[in-house]
Amino acid sequence: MSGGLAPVEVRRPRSEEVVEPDIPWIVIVWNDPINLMSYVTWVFQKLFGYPKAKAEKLMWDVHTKGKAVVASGEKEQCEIHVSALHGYGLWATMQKDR
Amino acid sequence: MAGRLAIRRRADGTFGWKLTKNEREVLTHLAKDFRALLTAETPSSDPSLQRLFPPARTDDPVEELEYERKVGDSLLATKLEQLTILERCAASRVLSEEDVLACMRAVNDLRLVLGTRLDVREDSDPADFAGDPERRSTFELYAYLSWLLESLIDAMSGSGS
Repeated sequence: MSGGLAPVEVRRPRSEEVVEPDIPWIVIVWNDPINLMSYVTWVFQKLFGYPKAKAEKLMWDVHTKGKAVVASGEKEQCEIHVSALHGYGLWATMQKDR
Repeated sequence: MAGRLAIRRRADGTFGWKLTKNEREVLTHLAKDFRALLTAETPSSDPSLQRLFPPARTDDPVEELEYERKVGDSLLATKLEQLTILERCAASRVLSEEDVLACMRAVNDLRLVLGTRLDVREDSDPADFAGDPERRSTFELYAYLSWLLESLIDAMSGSGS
């Protein structure tokens, strides 16, 4: 995919790091120049069970906007998603959705 | 290579895998080299590995350490296991679905390492490396692995049957 856009470091003041259990976590996939579009689409279908149309839309978001939120939920679940995406060689990070 | 089908899903659910002798040798060689690299180097000692072990938490370095401690070793173990399967499959003519999955991931890992070393862009072509025979040959290998990965995706998606 084009661009080679690196994950942006998001700096937040420590004082804002209050415990808010109802805030979900999100998993972000970032664009990179190596992963094939067909492969990224296939991984989204395989890992998340998304229909092809949804997987393709997410892949195009990654490709054209530089990133896309591909999943959300509890922290532990997002960690599992991120490590699975890394297992497939995709460039994924997670953060609180705020 | 154009038009040739490297792999095809068969009626019994296994996959027929038609590679030339040369392709099998190249894949075996790449898998051995890559295993040596993964065993000897780390992402901090060899930047071409950084792309294989990206950070999960760019928002919090302490949480990132914790995450690496949790999953770092298992990610490496998985990558080594996939290479072992790729090596076995390079000598085989019939693959199971699990074999194909492992080969896809191993081939993509190889593309990530070679692509990072070459600093490829999405629109890179052989002419970009014309002045450097070694990089040109690495790019040809990268392009071959891209073609092979597309074949594996097609076969898994069912359109190869």
